[in-house]
Amino acid sequence: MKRTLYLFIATFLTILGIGTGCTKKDGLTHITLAEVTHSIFYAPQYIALEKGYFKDEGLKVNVITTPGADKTMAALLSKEAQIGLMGPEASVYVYNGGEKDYAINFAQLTHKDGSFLLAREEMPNFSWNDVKGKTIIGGRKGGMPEMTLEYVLKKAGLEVGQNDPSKEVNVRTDVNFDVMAGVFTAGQSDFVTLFEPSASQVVRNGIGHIVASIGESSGEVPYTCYSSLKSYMEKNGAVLKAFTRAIQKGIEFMLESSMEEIVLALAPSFLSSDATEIENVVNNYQKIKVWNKDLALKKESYERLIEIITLAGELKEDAAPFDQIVNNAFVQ
Amino acid sequence: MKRKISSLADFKKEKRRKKGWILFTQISLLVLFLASWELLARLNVINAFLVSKPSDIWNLFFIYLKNGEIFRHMKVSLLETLYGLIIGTGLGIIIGVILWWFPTMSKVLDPFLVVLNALPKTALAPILIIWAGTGMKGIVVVAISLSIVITILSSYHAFISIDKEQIKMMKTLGANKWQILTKLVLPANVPNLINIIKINIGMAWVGVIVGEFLVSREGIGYLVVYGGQVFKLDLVMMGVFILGILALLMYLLLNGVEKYFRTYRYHGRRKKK
Repeated sequence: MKRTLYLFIATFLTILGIGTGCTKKDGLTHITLAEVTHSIFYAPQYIALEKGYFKDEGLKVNVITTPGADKTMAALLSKEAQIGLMGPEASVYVYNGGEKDYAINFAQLTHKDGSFLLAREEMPNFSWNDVKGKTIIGGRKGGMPEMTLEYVLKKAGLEVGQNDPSKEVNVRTDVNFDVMAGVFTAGQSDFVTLFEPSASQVVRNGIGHIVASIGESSGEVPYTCYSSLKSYMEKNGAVLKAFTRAIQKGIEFMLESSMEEIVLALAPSFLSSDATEIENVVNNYQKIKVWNKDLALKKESYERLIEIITLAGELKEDAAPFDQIVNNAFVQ
Repeated sequence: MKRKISSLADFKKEKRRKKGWILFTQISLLVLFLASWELLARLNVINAFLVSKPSDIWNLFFIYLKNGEIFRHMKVSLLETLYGLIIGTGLGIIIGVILWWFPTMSKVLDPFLVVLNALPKTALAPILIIWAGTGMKGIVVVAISLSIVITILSSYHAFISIDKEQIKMMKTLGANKWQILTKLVLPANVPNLINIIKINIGMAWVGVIVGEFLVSREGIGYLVVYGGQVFKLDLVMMGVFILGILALLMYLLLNGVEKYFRTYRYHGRRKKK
């Protein structure tokens, strides 16, 4: 009995020791970054890691993938991670939920929705009116991809039904993000919205064709941003500035380098994709100008984000004010 | 100090007393847990945004109860679970019987079954759903996939561990294989089969929730996914609570069936005497 107790205490202390023993041994500031998914959509970040831009700024960044904005936000709130990469709508929900130590966005990584609309046939002269009477697999209700799709459809003057074929266009919200490509491949529905690399994979297999970009049609939206808790931001301004500078360099590399250099730099972070796939994906994203040198989050694009969420019916209260959710002071 | 038990009435009284005490402890443990959760959340010791708190969950449950939404979600999940449970257990037991009937076949299939049982079924769920189709069918298939292999293995092992002497005696008395199965193997294994069903209740629920996470437009799993999407952690916790209560109800129902069956069998035998 006594022995079990000692064993228990020893194990506990060991775990505690592992948990606390990792700050500034090599003169670098260690931070943990929680990313919402591991995707070429966030290429500048992996460039910064691979090319040592973070190290140049005195940072050692440990990236953890926390699939889904809710898990990423949970990693931030539980202080497991100091910086989160996710859609700023998460911070809006948290702020409206009454959390006092909420997350504030300090740099914008992607300026547009990164999903594409795929059809079964090639449609060279596609317009949004072509989806009339059709079914689109659109992602989960309340998720940013689905809400942005709805926004685009409504802006095109279409009557949108969720899982309701009687409306002008039927958006299916029953299929989860990770099985959307599979369900479309299995022959269900006329259209599907997919992120990369699923979109390129489906195209390569000849099952679907990219006919439109949701991001291009919706206009500029702060789609994925870096955020940290208010309490962390107040004390670690220098760290966040250094972090933002490294990301800035990553974006410059993406915009100014040749495709070969980009593919070479990204390959170690995306081992399951071959060079052709990385090239296709980067091409698709550069075409719609997902990355932009300006990391500041503009008020007008924030307002578009709020409009999208409100139009989807997920925001009943007054939206969180721009200057509470966003702080552009760390972008130089 | 132990009380002296001198008569059957005393024994029954003591048994009742003990039963009451266990129930009392169970309820007070639950109340203590909920009260400390509420208290810690109110005192901001734990983050109420991340873990919610019982009063918020209750209020939300009341809203869902009032507009009747909750019954729709409960009905769908319950139906899927029942289908998964009945098909998974039934098919599993039938296959178990077939394996018992053909010993060579069971020897051939044994390694395959063991490997199948070790496969991470929840990780294969996305593929299963694409094969079986979206909607209720896919979810039920996931629920079946979780319970069927373990049902086959455990029912088969229960069937072959019947006393060889008893089988030999039935054979000497001229019984055929069908009679051995229906008069000896199956009746003797009813407690084992009820145990299998108990385990499968949990398996079927896990399967249904995993399935609903992937494709669904209603159900408890859908509520949990939606709550996560829009950061309503109260909704997530409410889903988890309802899940627990439904699983408990199914378990109690089965316990009742088991008890009824036992007393029925007991009385049945006594009458014959």
